[in-house]
Amino acid sequence: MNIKTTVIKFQSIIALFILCVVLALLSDKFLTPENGWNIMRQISINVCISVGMTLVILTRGIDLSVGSILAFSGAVAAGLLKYGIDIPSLNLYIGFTVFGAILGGILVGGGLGLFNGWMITRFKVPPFVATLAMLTIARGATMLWTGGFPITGLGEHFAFIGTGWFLGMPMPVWITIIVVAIAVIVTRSTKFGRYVYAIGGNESAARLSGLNINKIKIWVYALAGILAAVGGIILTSRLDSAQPNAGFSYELDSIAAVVIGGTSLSGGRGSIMGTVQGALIIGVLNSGLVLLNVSPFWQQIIKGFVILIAVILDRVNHPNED
Amino acid sequence: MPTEVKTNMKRPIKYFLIALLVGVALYNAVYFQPLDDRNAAKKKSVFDPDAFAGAFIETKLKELPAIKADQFLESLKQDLGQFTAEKGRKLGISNDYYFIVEGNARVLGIEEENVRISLDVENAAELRLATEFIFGNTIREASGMANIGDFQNTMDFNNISVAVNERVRSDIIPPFLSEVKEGDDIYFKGAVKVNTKKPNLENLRIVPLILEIK
Repeated sequence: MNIKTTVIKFQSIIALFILCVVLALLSDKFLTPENGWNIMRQISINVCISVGMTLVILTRGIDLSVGSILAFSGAVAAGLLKYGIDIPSLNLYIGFTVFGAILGGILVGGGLGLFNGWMITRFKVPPFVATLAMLTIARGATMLWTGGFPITGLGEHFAFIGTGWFLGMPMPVWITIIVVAIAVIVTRSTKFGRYVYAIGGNESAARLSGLNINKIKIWVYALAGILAAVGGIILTSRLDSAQPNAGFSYELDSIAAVVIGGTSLSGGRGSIMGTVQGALIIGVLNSGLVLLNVSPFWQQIIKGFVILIAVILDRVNHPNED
Repeated sequence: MPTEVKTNMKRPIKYFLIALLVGVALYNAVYFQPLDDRNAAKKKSVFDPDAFAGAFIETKLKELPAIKADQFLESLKQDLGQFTAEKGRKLGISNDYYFIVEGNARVLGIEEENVRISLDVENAAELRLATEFIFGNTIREASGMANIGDFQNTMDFNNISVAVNERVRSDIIPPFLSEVKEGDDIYFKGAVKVNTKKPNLENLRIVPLILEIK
């Protein structure tokens, strides 16, 4: 392996390292344990969504609905926990435990993801369009479910998921580590993981090899929905409220993390750990810019350029991809 | 044993385990209650801001500790920062501090929105007792009648202000306004807000809680 290949392979880690060194020199508050935990907590939601987004992009798809699914799943979990379900005709009230509410939120996220996959595979709707439609549908459903008002006061047990600490580490970080670990194992060591890469690399070849492309794609979108729901539950728990406009534009942060992490938008190439590095770069950059008192308007511009540079570098390093 | 037989044996076990898992998950996920019982319990536990405000005015208001109005003004003039920090109440990181003040005063004039008074002391300053536009959280914050940490629902906390302001508008101000005349001596107890960045001490406005014509 020559130097150029090594640099290309580790470009995200190198970029992250340089970013950390520069920010540590510019701000004495950057390299503190508190700031470290803050960054980890802040990126945990983005990492959860981005893991799902990585799988989708690996199949040469895109999922623009993850922000809205996040909001709806969080709202469903909060609503079930706080209000339960009334069935007046049976004089029955169904209450939900914290576990039940979380399960409900995740099922809703998975269901919406499944619907995305079904639209894309059954009706051949382009992923961009199908998930764009879901973005609007899920946002509208969130508004309907919440009535446009936040659902607050969810109790300390639910709040523990987003704000609690376990064995010296914040709970959102634990959840993220578990999600990442499972995703790494699935993508590296299971048949399903290989199929995902195969579909993104060359869908026709994968089909001719006998793979059930539609089934795998539906699963991938369902997983993206489930992971968006996990992010939604962490966010709702952290805020102790389900906000109707939660997760607005999270899909863009997620795509940015995936792209910066080296996953090809053409599919078939990329990794979960690369995405984690991409999310870390965005998180560190956000934290650093805040600590340096950079205007939020400039922060957006800088983040945009970072994404552009990442894509350009990717194109330069892989000139033969579509 | 042939593979087919093995698979056939495995299948029921697989389905049984899945059903067991789903059963355990559902058992821990939901609970059931008759809807009538639930609604009755909910009615009982619904927070009633009007009753809360009424109980405060009827039982706690008279004994509510208050700073003498003349001392209050003097202390603000001497050291605004220290006095507000030591004696005032505030919500969050705002620059607004709230106090309960009381005193004897003479009515100087009755205006559209206020009653102008002069404290019953030497070199008395002028103050205004609000009689219109009783809004905001001044009474709630100054009296400390409710603590935001005790309310899971911020709407309930906000509704306390709405209810107590309504009580002042309907029960405290009208009887006073119908009788008071210029030159009357009165006793008052009320809530006042001081902003440490823009104190405007010459124009303080007291939201009345007790108004008595002597």
